[in-house]
Amino acid sequence: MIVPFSGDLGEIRLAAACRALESCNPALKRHGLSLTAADARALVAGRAEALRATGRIEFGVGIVEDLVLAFAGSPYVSQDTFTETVIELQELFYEARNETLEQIPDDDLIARMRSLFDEFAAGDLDLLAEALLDGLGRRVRDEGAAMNAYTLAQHRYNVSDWVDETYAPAWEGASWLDE
Amino acid sequence: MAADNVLARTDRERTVPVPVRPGEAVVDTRCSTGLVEFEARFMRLLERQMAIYTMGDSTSAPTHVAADLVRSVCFILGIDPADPELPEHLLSADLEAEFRRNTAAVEGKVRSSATLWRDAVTAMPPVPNTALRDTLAAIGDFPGQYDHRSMAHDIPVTFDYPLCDPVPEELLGVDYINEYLRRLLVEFDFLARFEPAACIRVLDGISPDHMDLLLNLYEPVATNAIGRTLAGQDPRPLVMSARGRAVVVGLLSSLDDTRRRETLHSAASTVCVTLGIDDPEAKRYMHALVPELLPRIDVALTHDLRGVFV
Repeated sequence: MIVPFSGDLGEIRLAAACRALESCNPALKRHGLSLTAADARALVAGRAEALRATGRIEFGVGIVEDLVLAFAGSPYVSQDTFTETVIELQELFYEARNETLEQIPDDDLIARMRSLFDEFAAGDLDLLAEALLDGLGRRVRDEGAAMNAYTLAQHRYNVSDWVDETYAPAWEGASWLDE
Repeated sequence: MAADNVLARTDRERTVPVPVRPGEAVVDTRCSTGLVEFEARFMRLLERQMAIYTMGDSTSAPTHVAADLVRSVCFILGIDPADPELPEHLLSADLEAEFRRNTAAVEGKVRSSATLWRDAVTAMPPVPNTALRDTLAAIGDFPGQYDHRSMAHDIPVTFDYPLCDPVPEELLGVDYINEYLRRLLVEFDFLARFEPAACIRVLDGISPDHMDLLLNLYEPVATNAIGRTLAGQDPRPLVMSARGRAVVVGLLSSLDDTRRRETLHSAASTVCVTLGIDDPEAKRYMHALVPELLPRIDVALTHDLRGVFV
């Protein structure tokens, strides 16, 4: 399909993404965290890898900045683990979007991730993955399946109507063109 | 994958040529700064389209959805996926404004398709054909089904009825629908020049189940009209007798391929004159049948042209 970008723009975009991440530093400082240029580059590279691994495409800066700001206040992150954690959170985020069938908006999903990360998983990313993909994802899919069953039941009802109407005896003089 | 690595992932995408390859051929002939700026504007447009498509819920989408969004934007902007060169005017254009203008033009085309559809339903020949009826019904739903903002390249219609001269596959979205309807109207106008009973007799000669077959109505009727003209008869009754076929066999079997083609084109022109067909598109449509007819005639000459002229 499309490969929209020459090397120049790739560099420009990378620099812009890094600048956007580094602009989070004043907010991060309140939580005793900071992102270096190397951290920002690692996050941007992690984003590309996460999107590739989950078969998704993102236009614009994306959600990495939101993840950084949302998880900075968690008691389970520290300066030592912050970048690594956000890289893993990115992949979990995109995976969860796939598993929840695009039903949960980005902001809501990030809020739920933060809540599960703190309250259920206590900072354990494996537990968070389980809660997101097996728990939340399954629930959304089950709701979707229930909705499909309801729609199918409605459809069956309509099909019955259609069969009755279609196979009703034609009135005298009816022709193919009257259908 | 991030947008700067939007790469082919499916087999279909691999076969689709790259619509924008600014880093390659284009960069050799144009100012690379302008190209980088175009790419940045194109990206902002895609970002906005993604927000519109997801109603602001998400900045990302599965690869196949994102690829469709890109195809849609290319369709609206007039970027040909098969052409490695970008349209010159887009390099310096305000893409957002261009996109809005072109989207309004697409909306106009959708309104035209509704008019064309009404014309087609009105002109539909009184010859029973399930595929034609179903296809026209499906096209009637097109304006409601078509998402011209996000999936403008899409053709959300199932076409059961085959045209005699199919719409080129390069046409997409509303352009495909409108061209299909225009060609259908040409066929209907032609068929209206014959008695419906005569058309049905021709179709009965092909198959008694013609009503339920995926069969074009124009092609056998036009073929018989050409056949009768070759036999020196008025095309309108459409019936091709064994004697008439024998005359045509005698005429065509003595000709080489070139002369045979010329004779058929000449007969097609005569049919148009006899039936009072003036429209250049209708004439082109009739002549487009000749190349299809030639190989069938080659094969059927030894069988008295049975199966070609019925």
